[in-house]
Amino acid sequence: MADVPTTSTSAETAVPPKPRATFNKERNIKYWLRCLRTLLPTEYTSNDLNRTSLAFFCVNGLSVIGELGNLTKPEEHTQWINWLYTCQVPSGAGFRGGPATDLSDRLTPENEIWDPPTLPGTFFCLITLLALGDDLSRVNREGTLEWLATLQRPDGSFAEMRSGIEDLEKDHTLTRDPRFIYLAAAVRWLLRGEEGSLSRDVKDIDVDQAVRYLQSAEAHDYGFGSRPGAESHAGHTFCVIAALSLLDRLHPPKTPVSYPVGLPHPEKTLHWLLVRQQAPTNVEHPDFKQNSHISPPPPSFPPPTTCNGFNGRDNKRTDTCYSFWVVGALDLLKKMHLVDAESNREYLLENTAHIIGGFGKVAGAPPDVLHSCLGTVCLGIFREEGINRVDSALCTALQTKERAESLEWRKKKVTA
Amino acid sequence: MASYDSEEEELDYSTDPRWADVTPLPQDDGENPLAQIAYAPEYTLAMSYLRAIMAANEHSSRVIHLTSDIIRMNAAHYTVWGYRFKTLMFLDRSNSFEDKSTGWSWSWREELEWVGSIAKRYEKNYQIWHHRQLIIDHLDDATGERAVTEGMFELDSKNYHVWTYRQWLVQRFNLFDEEELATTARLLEEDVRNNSAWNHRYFIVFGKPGTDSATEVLEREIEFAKEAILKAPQNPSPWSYLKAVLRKGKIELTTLKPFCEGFSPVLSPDEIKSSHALDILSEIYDQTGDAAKAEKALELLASKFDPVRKNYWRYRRRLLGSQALPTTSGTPIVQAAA
Repeated sequence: MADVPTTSTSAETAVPPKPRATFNKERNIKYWLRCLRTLLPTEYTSNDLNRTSLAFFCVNGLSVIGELGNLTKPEEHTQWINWLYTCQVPSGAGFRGGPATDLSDRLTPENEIWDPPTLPGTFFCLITLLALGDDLSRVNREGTLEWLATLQRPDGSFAEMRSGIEDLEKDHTLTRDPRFIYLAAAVRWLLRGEEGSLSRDVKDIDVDQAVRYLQSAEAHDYGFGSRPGAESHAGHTFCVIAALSLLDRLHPPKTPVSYPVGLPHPEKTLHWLLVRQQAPTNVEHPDFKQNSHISPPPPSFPPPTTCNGFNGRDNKRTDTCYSFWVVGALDLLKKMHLVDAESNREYLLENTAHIIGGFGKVAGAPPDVLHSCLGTVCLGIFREEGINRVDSALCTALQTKERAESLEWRKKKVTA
Repeated sequence: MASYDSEEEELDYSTDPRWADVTPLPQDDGENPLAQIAYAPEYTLAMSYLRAIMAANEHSSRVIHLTSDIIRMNAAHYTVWGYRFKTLMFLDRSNSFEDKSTGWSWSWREELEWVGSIAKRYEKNYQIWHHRQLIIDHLDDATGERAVTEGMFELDSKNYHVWTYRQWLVQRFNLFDEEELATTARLLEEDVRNNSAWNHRYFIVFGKPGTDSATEVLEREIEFAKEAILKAPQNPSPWSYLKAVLRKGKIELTTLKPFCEGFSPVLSPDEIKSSHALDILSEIYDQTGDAAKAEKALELLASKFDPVRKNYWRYRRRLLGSQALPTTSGTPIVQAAA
């Protein structure tokens, strides 16, 4: 266990150092077991079409603290795995976002477009299956990868799914942003395996074009937005960096290459990411208004160094999830030692950790599954006691990633 | 018979004669599912009718009511938005925006008004703005649309989805104009820290394809940023903007030296007002070979003016003299083959 840090306060003004907050594993276990075994509150209805993402946060949350195998029963795992497989569409080409669109026995070729597999659904089901110990043997690998390639557009971007109204869209009305390239890169990484491991030739995505799209989303301040010209946003910036990492295009090789690779300005983007770490908003400040959209009053100058979390954009408040989006991106860039880890730790454990377990979005907010999962994974990146080692690109326990890597079917087929 | 035009009308599909011909399709959750949500009973019922209608590929006027009902309860239901748009296009093309038998009528303008009211209720939703985009593109008429986004900015002047929509409007209808510039100036007058407005200003001034930036435009934007910095020297947004304008105009960073020294004289630490000025000065001093001052600027950042990033400022100190921080945006993205 890490030592209690000594304060810099000189002897004559010595105040007793406050006890260092710790990650309360017991409370977090209770939180995740409640989320897994009882109904999620009605407020989660807005996530109904992405219920598999909620499933991921809950299973992953318990998995990264190392208690999924100990505290849930094998029959529960079997039932949960079966439920995830019911989200695989009958054609085998990917997973739907949840059962809400399932047309079951009324499904026909004419209406299947309203029950589409989606990129988020596919990624979250695959990674959750792995976390539960499944070997993905019931996944239609080739079908899913073929479907994946059909989602890519000429500019390199990806559609979230086939929307059913492609015939009514124009190229400029299509939604595009780095999130879907990230998800596509993750699904490809999980399923494609080694060269020669597939049972037949399957068209790959156009990696060069995907990289060009990611690079084009760099904004004037070197963060990345949803598209060229859009405002820098830490969520999109994570997706750009993690997608490049999963496509093996993040770090340029030592010798020059002829394909697109890397961030356009890695040192400048590093600066932008590190500037996300900010002192908490002073809610006692006379100019602070709780529900105002006007920028919060800035911290005093020089700013305090305690409880500095991360924000997603300049002049926005800090928020638990950005601790992961930013630190995860920095970890992939091999630069996370440049953040003030202790200050971020204080922010998460003293400000946004909730008394009933889990993490809220901001101090005082009730916990929710997204912020609880991402807050935990962020602490895992810094090897917090009570949390297993994690993988930043997949936002999961390192063990889950290693399970994927060790699967037999991912290895090259040796012909007899 | 009641018409379908009242959006808040509560409807029980199971007893209403207009839905009697539909056999609802309930959700099958299987045994012990993950992430089960405590649905409101009205949502469960409406969703069962939606699945049945989608299974039948029905695109009639009652779909408009049903989809409004679902969106009211779950605005992030992605297929319902596409289904609604497809239905609207079908009704439009078959001249069926009026149904004499039920007294129902609809129009694209009514649709836009309804979308506007939903947008104000679900500010974080992006499907709403994609739907609006499809309608405005179909109508090929952006009249009043800037005002709609500004109404949203009164609720949240940093709403990412609304700004994305606004940028689409500007590109689709070529609105790189004075009105757009004035809007960013007004929003920044109201909140000089609104980074979304700064970003949009950069997009308006420099984002139009195929235009070179005239000297007077560059000078105007440099002045604009400098005035904002004078109001709040510790605000990162105008500093980033200023540096980006210089790069765009291929103007040396060193031209900012007197301006930055006015905020952060490294030899008089008590007078320092801006960490951003110190950061830029460290680069300028590095470029001009003033190594001692460059180090001093970075050490002041690490020890006093931006200590949360002390590891970073010390990392930067090790990079001094290495030209690791190019000042122009000319770095090639594709490395040429040797």
